[in-house]
Amino acid sequence: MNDLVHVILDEPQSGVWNMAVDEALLEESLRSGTVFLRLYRWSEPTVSLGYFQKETELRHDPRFANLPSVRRLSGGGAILHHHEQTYSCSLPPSHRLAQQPYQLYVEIHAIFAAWLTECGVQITPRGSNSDRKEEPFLCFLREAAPDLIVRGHKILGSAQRRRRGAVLQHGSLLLRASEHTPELFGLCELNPKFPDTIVAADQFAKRLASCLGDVFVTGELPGPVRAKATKLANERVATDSSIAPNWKVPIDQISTD
Amino acid sequence: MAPANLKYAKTHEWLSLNGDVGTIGISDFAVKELTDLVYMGLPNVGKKLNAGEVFGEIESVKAVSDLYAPVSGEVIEVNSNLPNDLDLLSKDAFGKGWLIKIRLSNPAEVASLLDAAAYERECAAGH
Repeated sequence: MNDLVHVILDEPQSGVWNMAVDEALLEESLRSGTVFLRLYRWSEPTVSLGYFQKETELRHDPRFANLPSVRRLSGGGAILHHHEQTYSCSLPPSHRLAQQPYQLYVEIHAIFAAWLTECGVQITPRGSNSDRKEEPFLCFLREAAPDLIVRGHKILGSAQRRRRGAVLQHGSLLLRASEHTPELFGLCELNPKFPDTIVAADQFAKRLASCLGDVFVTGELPGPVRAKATKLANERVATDSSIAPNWKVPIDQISTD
Repeated sequence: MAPANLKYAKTHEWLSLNGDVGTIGISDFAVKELTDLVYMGLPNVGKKLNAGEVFGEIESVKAVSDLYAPVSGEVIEVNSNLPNDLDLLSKDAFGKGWLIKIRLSNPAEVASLLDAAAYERECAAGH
């Protein structure tokens, strides 16, 4: 492995911007072969919908009616991004983990698990997928094998977008419960001594980057990525399509079974 | 095993040709790699596609993957059973799990696709 990992430690931003940047990073990995790791947060509580989720499910839940929302490129359930640490990584097709994308879940989550264990948090990988016919609306109530669990509560979940061999994976680590989703506990409720301020520190980024490459540099969002993200974000705001479904089949033809 | 009468793209779509109409699906190798399919999006009839263009998406284990047109043409039929029954793909990827039919606009593009043996070599190489 001789990959150089470009690490970006971002300021809290809007949902539309955060998702536009992740998509722009995926495109840049595909175009230039660059490996990116990004740690970021959200400037206001925001709901992101999984790529195929129905907007009507969001609108039927009064808790989320007045919150900004955005659709992710990745699959899975909805996430209320509030008190969380979010990460994304994007890999070009030549990267070993782009060629075994499920292993990317495993290796990234293993690093989170090791770090949380060092912080005194007892972590259990879930280890098996749900066989439920109907999945809950919220990602953190769904069950997938790579999830990290603390005292029965899911605290880390990730999802992917695969495009022409390149892979974008992003995920959320719940730090504290949100008043919008009090049923979802974060690390602070599950382990009161948990130091949530250190999550975005350089040292943790270095550990995450270590499974993506053997050298890393920390820097700003590259110019072409910023330009692409600005274009994507402006298009979505201009067309009010930040939440609009992108899929090609009419909504009523998509089954939730 | 990839049927010998089909053509294949490196991105795992197959093409069955009948005159100027092509039936397109994804290989059982791709279906097994994706695992646990949950959602699929396909284009509307009438959509014009260029070779290599994204024509749909499929979700599995929280991962959404793009589907690519192996050849150019106009969509003339969509497998309407599929979004509601993705088991068709798992059980019969080369038959009842077909995705779309298109009327080819440039049949010469078929020559650039792989035959079954070449496609299997690609799969064996982990591509």
